[in-house]
Amino acid sequence: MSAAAALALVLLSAVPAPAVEALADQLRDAVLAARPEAPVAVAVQGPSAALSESVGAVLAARLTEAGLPALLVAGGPEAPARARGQGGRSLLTLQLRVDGQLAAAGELRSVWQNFWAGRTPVETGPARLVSGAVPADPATVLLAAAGTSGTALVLDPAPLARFPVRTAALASGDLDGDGRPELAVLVGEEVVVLDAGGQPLARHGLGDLPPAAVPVREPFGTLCIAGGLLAVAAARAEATVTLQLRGGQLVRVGAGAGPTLGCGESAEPATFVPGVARLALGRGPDREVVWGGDARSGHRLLLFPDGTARWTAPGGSPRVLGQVGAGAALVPWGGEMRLAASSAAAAPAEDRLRLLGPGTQEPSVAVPGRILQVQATADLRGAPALVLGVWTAEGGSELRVVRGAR
Amino acid sequence: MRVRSALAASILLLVAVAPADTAAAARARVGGTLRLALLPEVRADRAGETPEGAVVRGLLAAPLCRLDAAGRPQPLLADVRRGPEGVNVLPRPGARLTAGATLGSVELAQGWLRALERSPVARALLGPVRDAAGVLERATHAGATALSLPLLHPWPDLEASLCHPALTPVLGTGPGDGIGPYVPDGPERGRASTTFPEGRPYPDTLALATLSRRAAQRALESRAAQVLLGDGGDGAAPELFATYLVHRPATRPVVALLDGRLDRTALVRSFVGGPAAGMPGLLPPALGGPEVPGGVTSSSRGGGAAQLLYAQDRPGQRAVAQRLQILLRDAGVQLTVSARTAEALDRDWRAGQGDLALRSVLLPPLPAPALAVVLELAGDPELARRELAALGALSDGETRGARARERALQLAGVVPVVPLYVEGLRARLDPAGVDFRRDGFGLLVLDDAWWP
Repeated sequence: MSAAAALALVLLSAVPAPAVEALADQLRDAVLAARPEAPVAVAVQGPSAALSESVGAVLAARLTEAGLPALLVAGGPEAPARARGQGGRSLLTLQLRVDGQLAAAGELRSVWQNFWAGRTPVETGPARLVSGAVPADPATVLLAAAGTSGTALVLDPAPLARFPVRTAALASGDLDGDGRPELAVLVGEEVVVLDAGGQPLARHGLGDLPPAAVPVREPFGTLCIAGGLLAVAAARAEATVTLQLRGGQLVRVGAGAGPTLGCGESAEPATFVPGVARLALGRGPDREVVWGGDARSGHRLLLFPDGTARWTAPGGSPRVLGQVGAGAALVPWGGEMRLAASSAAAAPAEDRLRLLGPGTQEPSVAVPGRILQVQATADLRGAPALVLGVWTAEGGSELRVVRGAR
Repeated sequence: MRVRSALAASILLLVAVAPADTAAAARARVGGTLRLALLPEVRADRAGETPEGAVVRGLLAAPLCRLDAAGRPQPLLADVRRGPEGVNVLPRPGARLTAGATLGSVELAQGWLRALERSPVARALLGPVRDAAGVLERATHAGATALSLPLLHPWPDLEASLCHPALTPVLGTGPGDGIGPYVPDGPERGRASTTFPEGRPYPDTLALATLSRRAAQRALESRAAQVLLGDGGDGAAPELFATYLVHRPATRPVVALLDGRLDRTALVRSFVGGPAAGMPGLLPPALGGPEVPGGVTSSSRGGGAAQLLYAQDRPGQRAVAQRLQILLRDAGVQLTVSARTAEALDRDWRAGQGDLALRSVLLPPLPAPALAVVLELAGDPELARRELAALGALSDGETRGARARERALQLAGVVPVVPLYVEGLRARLDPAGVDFRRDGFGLLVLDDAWWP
């Protein structure tokens, strides 16, 4: 059993997963109604191995309790052979999807083979479609994420978006209330909101804001999406604003509270250091000047201009990491808090994003350009992904997506 | 140090700590000195008329806007907006001259009036403005917020033309009379300007050193300089610094003798040096002009005498002037070569002195405004107005460019302007430098430069 599956079972035993169980109940009723020949082999495929195994295990248990013996087999093209090999007479194949809902769809059929057909694998018996859907809950999302905590990261070959100038800040969160995250990008003198596929949904110009008394050359700022509102703090402007997405337009709903370290409940207020792309935290002797950082779920990350980072976990001692670039953020990944960090190389033609965490595994992926922003988000299928703000040598920028290898 | 003391207190779990003096990583390092090694001829071009001179001058006096590599104007010191009559130039808040005064329409108009007096490029680029000198003269008294430039005829390329270094806003002729990322701090030094609208540059100081070619190369190799100007170049940048031989109508027979004997490729190879190319058409190859210079076509002889004016601070012009002298001597014409400062050359030529002159101009990277510069050198305002009005009526940029190229081919041999060669920026860079960029003119933009 994989570590992810073990984690999933631990999570299941510790925290009830009503969505998974409710879905299993729906599927059990549909399977029983079809009266398949016992025993039934169950093969489930989904966004993560952990979620697939959980749904499969709970469904098999439910079927057995209802008097229909069931067994679990791995999915894929070999599933019928595996089912036959383990004595199954019927096979239920299911595909799972998580996108606000936990949905399953597939077919139930006999795997009995006609001996007289010889080597031609003719399968007999009618196939029945089986499906079910329930609202996804946090445990389901966590299980869907667990499968991506593998040892590899994969960069999507094509950029999600391209800009002629460099990105200053990046945020992810639900702005339109549909339960799916949008991306907000501070670039040039505007904020652009994109959907998970990279399509622009709205733009808002900031050119009318009074310029900072001491202007900053490097694109720099903070964005935060919380409670359906987008807080914008651009170092080039004196004022900050709060925006709301209404009817496809970004509307100013008030002044912003200023730049922050992190976002939401964990956010810490900060100030821009005049003239340079730095944030100042605290006051007096405790004042710290940083490139930026993150604050999330009790974790706190500070990025220092000498290429070091200080990461403090809840109740833990600060941990100092070297060779961490300005593009770094805390990301929930596989049920754990990890640090996704760019390299500390000055101006690499190819940067490297590393995923640092409590364990010894340190997956990484090469990314062309310089990574200046990292943001955890979910892709169109609800699977966890990292969006990177990458500066190109020509003076422009791209948004690139990194995923965990399946 | 904070990190180290914390370590001593044993409260940190140290995984891997970079040395405390590690240079800045992915964000720009702030501090240090940007050192430029300049060849003497680069330092001599204080007005910034050559590509190298324009790069140096731009550090202390930035242009009004920046043409990016794709030819799009990006506001720097002013926003340029179209109005029903022409364009309005609105200085950006925070654009402050070294003396402390804010850049306003009065300062801008005063600067451009001076540019009109001394620069054929400035005259050409503001040519489509109706009574440019009168408009600017009146603006120096009006004190309006924006400078309105009414147009004589449609001219869609005006916004891009205003980004030319020849129209850099300066109050006087001193090095500190503009608005740049650096403020002069002595004759060869500058310090980062914290009020520059685009933000202060990353280095704290700027240092200029005038060195021989060998010493400058050594300075770059030993990393005592980050940029060398006046030597080297790369083939990727557009070559737009064009040199023409202009002549009086009466001197046409002499020019005909010369044109038949002139091998532009050999001229560039032996007397100009790279990055440069022979230029057979009025527009250079970078703007779609013809590329293959013809060889020697005639060896006919004539007679008489003529005077050629050239700019004394340009080593290339001096060598080419002497080469033309030899060619014409072989054709039986006695050519006298007379050196002038760049400013005196423009003034004296317009005053009627000399029969021929070498004129070097940094062409805009758009064919129609580039043709406007050539027509200004031709010295026929009526022809220029007619040609430019017809070009400006074409609203589509591609069509306008194609027509300008076509007209340049047709006007070659008609206007008293003989194209000779075109040069690119001569520069070498520290390979460790970050964010050295080029603008649409092929000039180095050092505003964002830093190094680890």
